[in-house]
Amino acid sequence: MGAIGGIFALRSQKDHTDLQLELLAALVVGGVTLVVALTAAFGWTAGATLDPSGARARYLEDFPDDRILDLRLGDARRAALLDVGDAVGVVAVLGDRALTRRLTARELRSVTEDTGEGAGLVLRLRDLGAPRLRVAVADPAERQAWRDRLERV
Amino acid sequence: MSAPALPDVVQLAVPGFIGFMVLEILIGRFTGRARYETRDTVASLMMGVGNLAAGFLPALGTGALLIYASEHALLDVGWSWPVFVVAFVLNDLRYYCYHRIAHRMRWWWAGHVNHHSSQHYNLSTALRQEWSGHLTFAAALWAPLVWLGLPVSMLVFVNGLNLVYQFWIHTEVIDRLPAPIEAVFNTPSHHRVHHATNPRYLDANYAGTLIIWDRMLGTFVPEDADEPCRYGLTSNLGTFNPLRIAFHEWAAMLRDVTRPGLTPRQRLGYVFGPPGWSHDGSRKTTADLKAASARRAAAHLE
Repeated sequence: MGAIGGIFALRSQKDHTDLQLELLAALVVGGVTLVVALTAAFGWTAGATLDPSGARARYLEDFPDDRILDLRLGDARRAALLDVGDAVGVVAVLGDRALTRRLTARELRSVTEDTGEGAGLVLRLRDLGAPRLRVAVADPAERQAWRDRLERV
Repeated sequence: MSAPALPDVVQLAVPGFIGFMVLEILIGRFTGRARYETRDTVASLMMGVGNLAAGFLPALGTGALLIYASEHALLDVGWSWPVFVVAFVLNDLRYYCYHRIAHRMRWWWAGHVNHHSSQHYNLSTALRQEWSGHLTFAAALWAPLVWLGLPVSMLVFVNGLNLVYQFWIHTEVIDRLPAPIEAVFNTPSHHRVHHATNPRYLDANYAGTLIIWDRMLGTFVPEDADEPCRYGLTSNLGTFNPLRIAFHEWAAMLRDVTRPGLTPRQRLGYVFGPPGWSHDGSRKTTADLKAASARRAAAHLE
């Protein structure tokens, strides 16, 4: 499906046999509420979690030419960092799916430590589709090691 | 037949959209054949609501172009039923052209990318529509049909039918339909391929209602049961925020175009080149991804 675009503006030229705006608004609000409530009621709000083989497989779906040298699953199992030699790979859970990124110096804006609840690394990317990714790594030494690795890309 | 008052079929279909989504969710709950995720669904529905609202904005340049074409129409084709059928078929071909352009040129992809931004494929995905259609002048593709003599309101009507038709094909619940239907019409199977990111499925099946355009113009790819579709984008979004979904590609394009040190030709490349094009070859287009996949397959065979 695509945009109907400018054609819509010409609607006002014709007689209307359309839904009344109030009825349309009520249908939209009621319909959205019903659909969302059903998905929540059926438990489809729980996010996915990763395991090492799943994270590896997901990354290789998008970057099949890479060789994974090392993989570190975040403590919450909602993200993984992968050493792929000349870059660092990231697999991050989004809802019940995951996205991947292959980070080099070009894509990575900064790496900072998130020392709040569930300490970890916050990766800020130049990618406007995923500007911020977080990986929970509670162990300070390991966190520093990955931070160093990310800063070397 | 005099000019009839034609309904807005998309608005009239709203209760059906809701009813069929509820049905698909129930089927998913009890059979596992449809998969929803709450925040993904909210994002899709918000994109649909935003698209509906954006439809009430003035059309500016394209509206004026269509009025001009209407005033200089070559033929007075009238309002008979055969004309409606001709309008439907020609509009479907117009949709195919628009859709193919929207996947091959970043200016139009910047809006259309929203529709492909979910990693799910269900009826709510059908409603994940762009908000920026008015900015892209895509409606200019109606001008030849209006100039030919087809009334604008007739085209709006048949286009509404086309869009409503495309709602039900966004599902994994329906596998394949009888061969004669699969041969002529766009079906859930054909459209799953269109939404897939597997390299062999990229840039395929642009049809609206009739799949014959893809078959005739070399863009048809059948669904292969041995290669399940992976849905979404080749670089998936990390957000459910409707504003970011709607405008991330526009913002990225603006950033690329205003980058210092580029030639005018390179700046144009970032606007009208294929999605993924870059002046230094640092990004991958779908053609690059397909070529890399073909190389891997050939190497695997050796």
